[in-house]
Amino acid sequence: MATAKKIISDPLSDNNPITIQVLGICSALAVTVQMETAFVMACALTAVLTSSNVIISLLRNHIPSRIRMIVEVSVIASLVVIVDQVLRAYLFELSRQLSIFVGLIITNCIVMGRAEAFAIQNPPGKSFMDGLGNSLGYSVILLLVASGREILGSGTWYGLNVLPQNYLGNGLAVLAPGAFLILGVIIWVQRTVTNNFKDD
Amino acid sequence: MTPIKISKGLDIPIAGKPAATLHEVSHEGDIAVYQEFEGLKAKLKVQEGDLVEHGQVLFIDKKQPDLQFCSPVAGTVKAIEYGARRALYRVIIEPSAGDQPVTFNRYTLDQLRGIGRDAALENLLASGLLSLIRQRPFSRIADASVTPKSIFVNAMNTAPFGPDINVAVQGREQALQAGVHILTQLTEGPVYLCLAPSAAEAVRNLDGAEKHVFEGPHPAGNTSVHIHHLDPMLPADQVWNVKAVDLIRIGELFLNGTLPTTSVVSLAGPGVQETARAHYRVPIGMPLSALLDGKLESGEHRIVKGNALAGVAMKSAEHVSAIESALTIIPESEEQYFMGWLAPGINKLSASRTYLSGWNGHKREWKLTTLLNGSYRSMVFTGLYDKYVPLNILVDYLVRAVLAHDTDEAISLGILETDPEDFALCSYVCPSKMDISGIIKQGLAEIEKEGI
Amino acid sequence: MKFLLKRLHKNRHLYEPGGKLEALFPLYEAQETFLFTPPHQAKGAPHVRDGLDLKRAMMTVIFALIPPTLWGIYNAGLQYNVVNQIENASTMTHWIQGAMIVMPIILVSYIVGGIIEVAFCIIRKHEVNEGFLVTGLLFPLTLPPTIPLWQVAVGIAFGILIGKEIFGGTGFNVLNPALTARAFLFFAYPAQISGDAVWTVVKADNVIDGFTGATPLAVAAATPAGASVIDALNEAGFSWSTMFGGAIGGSIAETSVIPILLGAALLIAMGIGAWRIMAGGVIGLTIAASLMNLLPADNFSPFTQLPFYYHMVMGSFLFGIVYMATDPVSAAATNTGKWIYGILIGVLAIIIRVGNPAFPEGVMLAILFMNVMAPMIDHYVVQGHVRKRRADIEARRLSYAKG
Repeated sequence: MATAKKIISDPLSDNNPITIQVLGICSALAVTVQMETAFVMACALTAVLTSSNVIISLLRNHIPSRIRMIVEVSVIASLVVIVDQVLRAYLFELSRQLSIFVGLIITNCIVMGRAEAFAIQNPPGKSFMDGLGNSLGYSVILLLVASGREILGSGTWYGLNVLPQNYLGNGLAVLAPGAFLILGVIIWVQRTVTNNFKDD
Repeated sequence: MTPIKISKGLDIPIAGKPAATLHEVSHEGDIAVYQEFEGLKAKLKVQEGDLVEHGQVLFIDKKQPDLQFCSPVAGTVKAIEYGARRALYRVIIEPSAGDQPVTFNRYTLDQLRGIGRDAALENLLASGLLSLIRQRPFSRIADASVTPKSIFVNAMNTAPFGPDINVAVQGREQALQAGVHILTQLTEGPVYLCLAPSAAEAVRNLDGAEKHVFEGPHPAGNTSVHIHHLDPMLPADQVWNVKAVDLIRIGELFLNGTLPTTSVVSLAGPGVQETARAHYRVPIGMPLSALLDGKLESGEHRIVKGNALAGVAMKSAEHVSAIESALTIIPESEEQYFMGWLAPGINKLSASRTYLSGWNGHKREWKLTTLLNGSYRSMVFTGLYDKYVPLNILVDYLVRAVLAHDTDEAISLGILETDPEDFALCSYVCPSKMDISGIIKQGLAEIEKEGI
Repeated sequence: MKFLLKRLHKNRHLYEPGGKLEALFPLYEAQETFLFTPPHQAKGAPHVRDGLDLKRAMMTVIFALIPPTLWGIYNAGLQYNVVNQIENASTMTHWIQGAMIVMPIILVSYIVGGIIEVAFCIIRKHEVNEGFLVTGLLFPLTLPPTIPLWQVAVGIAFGILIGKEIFGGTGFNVLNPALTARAFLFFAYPAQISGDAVWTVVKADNVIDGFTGATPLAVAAATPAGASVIDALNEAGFSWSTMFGGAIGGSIAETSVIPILLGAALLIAMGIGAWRIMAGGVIGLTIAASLMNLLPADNFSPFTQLPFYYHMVMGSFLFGIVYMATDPVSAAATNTGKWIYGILIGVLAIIIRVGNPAFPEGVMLAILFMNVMAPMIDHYVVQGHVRKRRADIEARRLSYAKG
């Protein structure tokens, strides 16, 4: 059980897909102006990544290795279309705000990366853990960035006022560079605290 | 001869220039022979208590076993001292009358014109005087198995301070000429003789070398500058260089057949009494205390073996070096000036124009001390260093390449054409008080270890 | 003074390793070296050292900043008294009023910046670097006099943290920290640092009819098609000589040309400021503006037709190129690189000014952009140097071999 725990906990900090591997930056910038969109995006990615990992893992012994990429992409694309349709059906407003970014999960390096690096050579149970762990690692950072941006930019958190009414919103936090800065600070703090980088 | 003019550089107006007079010093006490060559691993050939003759082998170089380092006097080995990692530090000899000095092949001046490379090397190796000839890159003792592209004789000195060849050559004109002839046997290329505009006739008229005059502020007298202007090196090249004051001793060896026992040292610097700032012919290896006794100003001083820019500090219990012919005495200071950053700077020497002294202060002499004049800071790219290195080298980038351990980049930036001493002025002017020479030295060592 | 030194040294042991206040050594060190030059000795060769240290070099920049600072103080007071129609305002009241407006901004910058700087020195266990003194003064001088003080604090904190410390401190930063701080405020709180209303302090209860504090750049950018920008400027009271003299609203120290030229002269004479960058900037601006003049007036905005000598005295160009672009840490370091870097700043400043209506002033962005590009410029200059030097040696050896 120790390995299963490690599969889940590793991507949360030591091997975080965003702050350590620096994958999935695009969506981390695009959908983190507010908590709400970031949360939905995190859920969407979690759904896609865990199920794609499981499905690809189940298929792993049947996929000829020469065409495995195209199979992986087809699986991921189908899952993304399902998630997109579900969002449109039940959360139409939000899905409009997220616009193409849900669709772009297909190109999210994390999904493809985990399929290639893990699911294709591990059994479904482990692959599920791995998908879940990486989704959580992604989600944690996404929500942290979104918290920072929404609080600094508008003084609210998940739409709730958390700062005094006369708080003057920080325009930079709303712009994409703001996400870069907050992400940079998170990486700085994480690496300083865990000492998880080599200075050579 | 049209002089080659060097414009980049700086003559530090430090007080204490040695007078052009030569005093004889005799000494009866203990003599020390140092193992003062970097990168040399010595193998001892004597034990404590052994009797040695004048010219007898004391230790040899493990890498070049033919290279023997010999005793300049006859006497008893009184002590053998070791330094860090049990490496030989020095051999102390108590002089006494010997039986028969060890002799080397003896030649007349005319014979020396054509003795051939092997005969020349034989004497140089057997006497250890090959150690006075250095090989670039890396400034190590010349490797007898290498035929250098060319040989540079440095007959000038622009650093504060060193012996003046015009003084050292007095009465030994033949020996210097002999030295030049010997060098011409060692290379198929030219022997360059680099002169100061003030060079005396005896030096100017030497036969057998291609003569060039270099004019300008320090480092116009540095060998790297001469190489750069006369016969620039590519990374695979090897050239030899030797100081003219040392060449006299090589000439003496071949003319007399015995190991020279004396050398000329200059005693200079603000810490020396004005009347004592001069040249001295001293027995090689005599104790410093005997030489300096009664010649220094009062107060605490730093005794520097070499010049003030590139020399090594040493204790007063040491002896005169066999390979370094300059002694510079600088007063120690820990003085703190009130609001130094605000002062107009009339009393503080600076090459920069941020102090008034930077505008006209270089006309008078300054009694400089060992004060750092600041604190250590991070490197700031100012381009300031480039003004003091006349070698077509981007110093900031070279330093950065070395610090980043990027040896390939350092080589392509020209590190192999340099010697740490060429960057002493950069360390002198550096506002962050960085040790540029030390960084270059470390870079050269790293490249030497890796191989080019 | 010996007495003072003795008193300092009496407490020194407290801060030295093993002392009670060991962690605060940087603070003690800063205080001692502010009052007295440090007592360090050269450890190795060279055994004598030049009198210049980084403290002195940075102080020279501060001295060069004094003329524009004084002008900024005077002008802030003058503009206040003019706009608020204070009767019988004398020169003295301009100075006092100006000091009341500007000094708090500078003080907040120094105090907040200083706390962060010292905190990092304590954490990283190194001495307080004097570069901060320059950053702490440069930043407020680029702000409008109406800037809220809390924004000054947030700005300088951002500039020092993100602009400098995150990279490892003085000497390691990519961007000029003072400009980073200003750019942060510019994008975070645009309403307080751009527009027409922020350049002069107006009394809260004093609503003045018809007052718009538009800067020359805003006037120039807003000139309708077909009209002459020079006419529009003159109409708004901005003749060339007025803008040269600088008794107009604007960022605190940028308005007048004369004190900036004084500062530049001091920096160049002392050998601290890179004259190549300054000259390059002026040349780049001249070229870019003159090329713009060649564009057909009918198809492009009238701003393109403005002669370069107007551009030169408008906005923050001179202040930026003299004090910001020459920061040795973030600028190009090779001599050729400095020319390229300076020229491109001048060109970019004009392109952003004239070409992008969203940013009335392009100097800040131009310098920050070129800060990022500087290492690349230097890289190519160094590679060129390496190639040339090898070819040079080979050519000389060939001619030597021939005889």
